[in-house]
Amino acid sequence: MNAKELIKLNNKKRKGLTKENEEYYDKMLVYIRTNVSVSEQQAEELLMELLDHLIDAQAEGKGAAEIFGENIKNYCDEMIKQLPKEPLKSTAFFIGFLLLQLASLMAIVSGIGGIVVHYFKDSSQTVYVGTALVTLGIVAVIISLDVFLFLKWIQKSVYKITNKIKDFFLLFVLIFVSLAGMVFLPKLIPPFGYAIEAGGFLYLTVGAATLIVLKWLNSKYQITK
Amino acid sequence: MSLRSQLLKGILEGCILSIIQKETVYGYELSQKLQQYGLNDVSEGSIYPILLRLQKEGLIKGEMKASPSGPKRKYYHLTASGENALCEIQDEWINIQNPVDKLLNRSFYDER
Repeated sequence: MNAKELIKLNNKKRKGLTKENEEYYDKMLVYIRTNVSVSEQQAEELLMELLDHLIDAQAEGKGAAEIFGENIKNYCDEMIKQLPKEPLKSTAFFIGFLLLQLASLMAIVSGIGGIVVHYFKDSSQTVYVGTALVTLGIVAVIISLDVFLFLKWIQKSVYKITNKIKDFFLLFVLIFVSLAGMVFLPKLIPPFGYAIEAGGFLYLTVGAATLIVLKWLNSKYQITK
Repeated sequence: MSLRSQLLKGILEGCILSIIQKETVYGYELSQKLQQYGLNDVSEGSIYPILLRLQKEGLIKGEMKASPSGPKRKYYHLTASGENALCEIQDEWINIQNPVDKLLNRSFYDER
């Protein structure tokens, strides 16, 4: 069984847990799944094993905390330490794929934006390849950082009671800073690199073409499913 | 971690290897067997970090197989290096068992 099938089966089997046991198990599940460094296949096999154990024990009237201990974080950390890591190559490929998808979406949006603006006022449609690439880099770094922080925050919420108001405030600041960074940092880059006229249409065509190829690749090889 | 569980941790690995050598078992079965042998202090969940470590060291291997009760389970069996490791642990245990028995047994104090 591959990881996707295991996840499906896990969703089905989990319904058989009592409320307390499910609450406990869900925390383990979230904590282990949000740890991106471990092999997905191995992590899902372990989660299935733990779930099977819990279901068997539940039939004998035992509870999750009795079986796995009171300290979820320590217990899961102990197991994560022993789990094989996801090969770096496949992680890099996966992230690269997502970034390329992001880049083509950005190209489509700024392409349409450029064309629309061009109709209303005679703005220049020149695109500088160097500047465009650095902009993409900045956006990619900011988004990766946001995802990393978000996963860490979910992990932390498993074993720590968090303050909702404080969390909401921090999330607001994070989103604000990220958006500001994405909008204003690229403006600081001086135009450099190869200049292309009529950039709007070029952005739109290249972006759309890349997106279609990526969608096709994804449906064929199920990269992100 | 209490002294008792630290003591047990090292020995538990050998016990688990020994059970798996006799027959292939899945996680829940293994924890039941340990309890049946009287190791009641071992919390059931503590076998999983050990099973993962033994797999990482290549001493055991897990395989998904249909269980008698129906659903597929991950059954563990010993590898060749697992057999060797178990032999070594058994030898070591014999070497320390007697002296430790003598030292820790209450009769040691009575004999003085």
